[in-house]
Amino acid sequence: MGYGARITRERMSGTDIIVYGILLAALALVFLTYGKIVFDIVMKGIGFVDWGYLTEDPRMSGRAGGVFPIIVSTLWVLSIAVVVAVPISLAIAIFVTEYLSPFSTLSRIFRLSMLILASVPSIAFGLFGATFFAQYLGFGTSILTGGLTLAIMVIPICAFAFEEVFRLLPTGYRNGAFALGARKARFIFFILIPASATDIITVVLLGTGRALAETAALLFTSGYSDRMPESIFDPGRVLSIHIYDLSMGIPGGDRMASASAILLIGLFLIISSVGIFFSRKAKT
Amino acid sequence: MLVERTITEQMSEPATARPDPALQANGITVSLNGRKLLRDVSLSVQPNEIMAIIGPSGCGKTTFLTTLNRMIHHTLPAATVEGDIVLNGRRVFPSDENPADLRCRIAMIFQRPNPFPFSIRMNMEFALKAAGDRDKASYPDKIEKNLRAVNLWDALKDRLNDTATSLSGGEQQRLCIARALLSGPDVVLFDEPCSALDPISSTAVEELISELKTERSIVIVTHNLAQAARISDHCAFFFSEDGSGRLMELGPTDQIMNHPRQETTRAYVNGEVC
Amino acid sequence: MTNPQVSAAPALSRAHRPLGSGVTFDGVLRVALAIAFGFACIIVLVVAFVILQGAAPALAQISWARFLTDPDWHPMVEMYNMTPMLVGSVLTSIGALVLATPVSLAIAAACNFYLNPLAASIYRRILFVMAAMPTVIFGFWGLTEVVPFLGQIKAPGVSLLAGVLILALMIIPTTALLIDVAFSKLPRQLLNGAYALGASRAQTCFTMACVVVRRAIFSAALLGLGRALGETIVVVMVTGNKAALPTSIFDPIRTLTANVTLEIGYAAPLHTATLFLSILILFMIATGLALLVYKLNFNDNTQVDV
Repeated sequence: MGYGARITRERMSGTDIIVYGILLAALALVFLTYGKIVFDIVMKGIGFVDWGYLTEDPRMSGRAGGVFPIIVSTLWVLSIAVVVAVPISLAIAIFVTEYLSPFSTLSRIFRLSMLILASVPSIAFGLFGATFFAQYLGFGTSILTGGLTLAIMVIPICAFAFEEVFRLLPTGYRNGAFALGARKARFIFFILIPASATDIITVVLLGTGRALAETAALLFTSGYSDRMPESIFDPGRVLSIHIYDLSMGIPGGDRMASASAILLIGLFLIISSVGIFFSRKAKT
Repeated sequence: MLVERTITEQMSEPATARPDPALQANGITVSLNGRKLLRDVSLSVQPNEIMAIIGPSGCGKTTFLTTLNRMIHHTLPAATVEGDIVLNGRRVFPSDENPADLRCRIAMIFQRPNPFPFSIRMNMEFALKAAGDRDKASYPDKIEKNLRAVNLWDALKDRLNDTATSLSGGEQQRLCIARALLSGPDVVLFDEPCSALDPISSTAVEELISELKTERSIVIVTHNLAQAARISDHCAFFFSEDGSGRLMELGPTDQIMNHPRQETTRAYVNGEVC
Repeated sequence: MTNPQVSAAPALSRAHRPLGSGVTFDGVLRVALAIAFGFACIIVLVVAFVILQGAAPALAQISWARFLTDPDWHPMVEMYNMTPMLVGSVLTSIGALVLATPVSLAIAAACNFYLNPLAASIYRRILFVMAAMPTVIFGFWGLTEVVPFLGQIKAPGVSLLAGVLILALMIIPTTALLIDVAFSKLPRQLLNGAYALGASRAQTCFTMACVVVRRAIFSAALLGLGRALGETIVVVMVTGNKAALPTSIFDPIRTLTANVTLEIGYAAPLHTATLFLSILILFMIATGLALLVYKLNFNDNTQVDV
């Protein structure tokens, strides 16, 4: 990106100024639209977000009351997704970087299947989860089913990102560890993972953000029930579904939906900015 | 099983002085995707001597060095190695032994210092644990002894918890040497250890290498002929023929530098080939 | 793995004693990691199989042609014409793609060739956050702000156009960032070479850089298309969900994904199977797009972020 600074000192020609104007207009339009999305939602719902909203149960299908059970369900679903997806995708990425050559057939199969998995529509995962976890495995419509379905969706994203992180490990660390007589396991647990720790946190948060953003896959898996879940085998409504249901299904639910949208955006921004804070790329 | 093995070890361990040579490589040929990087290299290293490997770039010096402690499995995973390697009278390649164990006995120092991004103490402890040392109570003593051996103890004794990467390049390289010595290796391999260092650090590392030979053998790859002349006892001159590295000439350093038998060796030490 | 009898047992191997006969921790770890890897490789097949199995009754009992030639979509009375939904899905996603790609290209070009590095990096950060923003937020904003606005121009407001606009907003960050990465990986000598020939920035960017990274631009567009095609919540919220062919961009439409969301709750078995079938179609399209992206990016053994 260094050349940017060098170029801006040159004088721009006539066409350049016109092109610059057009590009800036596109840039500004997109930027302002995103700003307006957040602004509109905040202005509409901020009056409803208070301590009671966070701690009370919803009343009248969510037209009144709070969202406490919904926050609890959201956190449960997220936790299950992350707890299941992160170790599996770490293991996948370690196997691919440490035991396979990047050009081997198995590596290619891995990349292709992760790419397909990452492009499959989330609603397909919803149907898969509702059939496989809820029916075949008998978990029913529950927080567990929703969490596992999200885990399947998040695994390709995390595995890809972890693979990139591990490939960026300086070769000196690798050679140094093996030249000291370290076995693979020691290298993995005492060099590879600790040396990539901050990047691993970034990837975990990236995956969490992705899971938090999901709605369609959860419609058929974790359910609509806005009651407080008593265990992970109970259904539970997550924030995104609450917003969807209030704005689509409940007449007059818009304002309370805005309040929930503020919570969702807030939670999402916190996770994203902590992720950006930990990323090595952002620091350099 | 463990007991049996210990007995085997004791029986096979020679009781008195080591038989020479310390390290012997016979007919080493390395091929990568059908191309021979090294062809039929045989050389032996005596106990307590420094063997310098010299030669132009791309003649397989580093490849040869990495075959000696089988690091080549990591640096060139697709390469195949033929020939055999004998360490102190015991064949270590080909062998069923885990290469990781071999690397505790044949240590290696790289061109660029490569301390791990942890504290100095953790760098040293990693090496002890990797070498299978479970006697944690003895760690501080061993760390001190080895940092003293590389003349870093006085500078670092109060900073053991500092990140190793905050040290200067020369200090980092000496730390890496100390780290490699913790397993008590019989042979230490150096791959151009001074090429990434400034002249002062370079001299310090060079002097250190000369001191190290009192207790072990050393093989050093270097581009610096003056360095080879200063510290080595024997020199091996590698040269690339038809794309494959070969050992052209082997002899006492004085002979290689001043009275080489081969024409290519003479041309190289006189700076006519690079 | 190591056979202690044969391995000439160097003195220092004591810590690496086998866990049982010949079993080492390294070996166990390797097997565990390999299992996870195997899981990763078959999960896509398992997902495909489950959906195929769900769609099997429909494939067995209803002939292919009927999905296109039946008079209407009325699964209750065994009419299975999916054309309106197919057309709805294709129109919304292609429309979003046509709108989003030039804008994304403009953003990526501005960030790499015009903006100063600080502004560019702030803008990238914003795009990075928006790329992962929950889609329900876009849908909700579309429903409460864009739809009433369009309704003033031409009723009812929920329409193909609303879907296209919101989907475009949703995929712009993804495509813009992918193109941006491709631009920023261009070798500096290449750019310097163009400037040294006296090329203006516009010439350097649009006649040289864009040509060099055309594969990346194409695959960014494909990935954006995939996201738009698979999106569910946004289209359910803003397109009106009317299962009929649109005559103008202000008409409501229904996509395949919306169809599944709306009907699966009360569908009879054969009806459910047709819904699985429509997802199977999307699954296959997504796989096709992924294969294309893979061919474009991984064939020459170079890594490209996706």
